[in-house]
Amino acid sequence: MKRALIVAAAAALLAAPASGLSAQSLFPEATGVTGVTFRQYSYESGFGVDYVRQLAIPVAVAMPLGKRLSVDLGTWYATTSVGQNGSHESFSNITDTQIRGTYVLGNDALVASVMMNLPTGPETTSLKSFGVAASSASNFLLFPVNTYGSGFSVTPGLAGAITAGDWNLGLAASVRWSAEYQPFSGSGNSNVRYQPGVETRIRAGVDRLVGQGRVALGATFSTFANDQLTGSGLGGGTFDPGNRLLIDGEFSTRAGAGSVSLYAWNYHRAGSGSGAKENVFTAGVSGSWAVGARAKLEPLVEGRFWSPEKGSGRLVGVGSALRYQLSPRFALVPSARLDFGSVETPSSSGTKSVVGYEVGTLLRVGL
Amino acid sequence: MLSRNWARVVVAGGALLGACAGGAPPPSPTPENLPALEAAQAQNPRDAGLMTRLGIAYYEAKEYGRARDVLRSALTINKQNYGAFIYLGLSYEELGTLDSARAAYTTAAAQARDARQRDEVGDRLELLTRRELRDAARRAIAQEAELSAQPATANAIAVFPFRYSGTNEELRPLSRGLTHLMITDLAKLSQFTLLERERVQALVDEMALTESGRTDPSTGARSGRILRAARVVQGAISDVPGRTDIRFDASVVDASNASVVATGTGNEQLQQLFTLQKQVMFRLVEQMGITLSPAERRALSERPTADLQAFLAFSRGLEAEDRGDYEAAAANFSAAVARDPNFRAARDRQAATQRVTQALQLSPQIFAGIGPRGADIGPSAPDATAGRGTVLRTGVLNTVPSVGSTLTTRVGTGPVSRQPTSRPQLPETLGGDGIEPGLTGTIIIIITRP
Repeated sequence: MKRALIVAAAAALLAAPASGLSAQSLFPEATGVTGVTFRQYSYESGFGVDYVRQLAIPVAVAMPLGKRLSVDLGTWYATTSVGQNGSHESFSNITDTQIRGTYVLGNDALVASVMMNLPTGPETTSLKSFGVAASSASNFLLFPVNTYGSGFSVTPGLAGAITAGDWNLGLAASVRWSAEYQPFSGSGNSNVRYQPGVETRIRAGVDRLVGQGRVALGATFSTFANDQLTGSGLGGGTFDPGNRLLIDGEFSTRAGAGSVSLYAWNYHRAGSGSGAKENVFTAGVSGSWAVGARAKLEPLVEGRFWSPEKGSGRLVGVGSALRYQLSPRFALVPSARLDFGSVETPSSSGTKSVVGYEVGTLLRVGL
Repeated sequence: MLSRNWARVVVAGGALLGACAGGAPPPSPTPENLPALEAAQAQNPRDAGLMTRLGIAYYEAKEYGRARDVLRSALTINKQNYGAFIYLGLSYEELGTLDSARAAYTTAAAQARDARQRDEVGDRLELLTRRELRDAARRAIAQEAELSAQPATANAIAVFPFRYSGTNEELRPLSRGLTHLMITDLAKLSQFTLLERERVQALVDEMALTESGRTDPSTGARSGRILRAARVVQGAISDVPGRTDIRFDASVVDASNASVVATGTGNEQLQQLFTLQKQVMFRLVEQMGITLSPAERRALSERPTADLQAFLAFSRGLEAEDRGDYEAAAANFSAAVARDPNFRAARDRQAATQRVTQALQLSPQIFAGIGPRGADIGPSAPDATAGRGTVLRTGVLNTVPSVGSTLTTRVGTGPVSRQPTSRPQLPETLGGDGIEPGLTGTIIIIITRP
């Protein structure tokens, strides 16, 4: 993995900018984003958890630095609450902050990126707090924040694209290296050290125009070195996260004065010696239509199917956003979504219904 | 969970750059981009998106011929390219091939993604019509000998602007207003085919006849032959010395031999302007030997407005329109409508000049759908100029996701299908899937020892 890291970094450095090439930084203008999002899932009696809810406030800034370089920075402040057997536990904290720099080489030929995860989130928590915070760490559910703190990490990456006939072909790769950190405080656990394994990610994608629409297909493969957990209290050992494969496809086209997108993706986590396998399949339809001169209505209908090693889950979501341009600098995007379905886990006594909803609004500010 | 926006990002197409920054389209190519675009195009000669960007850069560099050639090549590869058709039309305009520009805009209109774009193309076509009239007048003068030798279009009548020879500058616009009235009236008679006022005015302007001897039958006949009109109506408005009346003289000239076939004269107080115009018009019709039916007489008696001030404002609007000052024209037509909301001709002109004004104020980038627009709310259809940028940036989003880019993408493109782009490391290591009930309150430890 170390070798992969070196190769990626070297590739980024060796691909020096050619003079006179076009200026296309990833973000053409400085933009700030903030807002608030609230999501809750309520479970049928007998599931073991009454509800899990999260209130999340994002802060993000993206801006160009010159013609080729751009940076973005983002973090959340989130409160996650769990109701269980009549009791209520909550955990509030800022999450880690991610800073990413991207540099465009050539004319849409290569993009070199480096993302740093700064541990502004709580590296060290009590076991109880960790349990509450971790209740949003699901690949199936749709919490805005799925992890608060995960220590320092750096992720360099390189993406390239070529055109072949009517097709655009893209290939991208990244390596994430994470530093060891102490996740827990409290007696018996303060010596625990956690070293996440190196993650290597590769993506291949294609797209092309079809009539008045566009079809796009992609596959992202992630593989991991073992996580290491050492120290007293929780014991120690290694954890093999298992490889992941995300396949996605989409067709978008005009529909009247707006557009419609049909999309589907499948996330597969392979089983390993210590990690459980998991599959999430999602398919949906979204649209976008102008409502007056300043607003667009963007509805979405989506089905989500979860197949863990034991149990199952399914959710149907219906929602919409309204994109309203307050002024050239300010845009407000309120949204709402309702999900309903069922879920079964080894701990639940059979299949239980689940209802989720999300309301929120985001504000975009041109800086 | 980190959210991402594969689906919407792809919809945004090449505008993904802008989408990441909150919905703004990608930056428009500039002349500074030309070396890079030319090099890239040489390596990817079949990349229609790249060729489109190159064509735009040529246009911005005022190399309109090269812009036209590259954009046409791009459109042979991919005909579904609204922006390319717009820039092709603009290039044709700059090159003076207005008929080709019209064809390009007409095709673009069929590919418009929404009503606003269709309206903008319509506005541009309205503006193009004015330019086509000027262009046609220039060509007609250049081909005067040839056109004069051709037979006139049967029953075609050209009404030339009536010259105002008085001293009251406030009344000078009546030159246009009365011409409009005369054309409107004569067009109601099936015996005649009236040439558009703007077409005649364009010729007059090109011949620099505005204040010269246009009332001379020979000059009118010459102009009529260029326009291939069988007859020409011309005349003058003047003050009556020592009185508040105005005088209106008009005549009909046979364009083939410059003979006067009808004359009409009258003078009335200014307040009776419409009565005066009708008197002269009926005399001309009568002297041309036309017998009016009761219905035609009634139709010719109709007045567009009873408000003289509204008509003066309307006339000022025509004058401003003829000199290309569309903002002033729109303002004057609006003033006319404000005084008389039933003044239909003023309403029509108000709408038309507002459209032309909007077309003139629209930047090429916004017109082509590739520039930031004040009220823009993000792209709503695939951007055919995207090229490989989409797949490239989607790759970046998938392999090096970040909270900042995810959020700016999300706020820029709407509801998202959130994918598991970031592994929740420790929760996964310690508990599994995050919805396991045992995770809350009591941690379930799943550690496999080597």
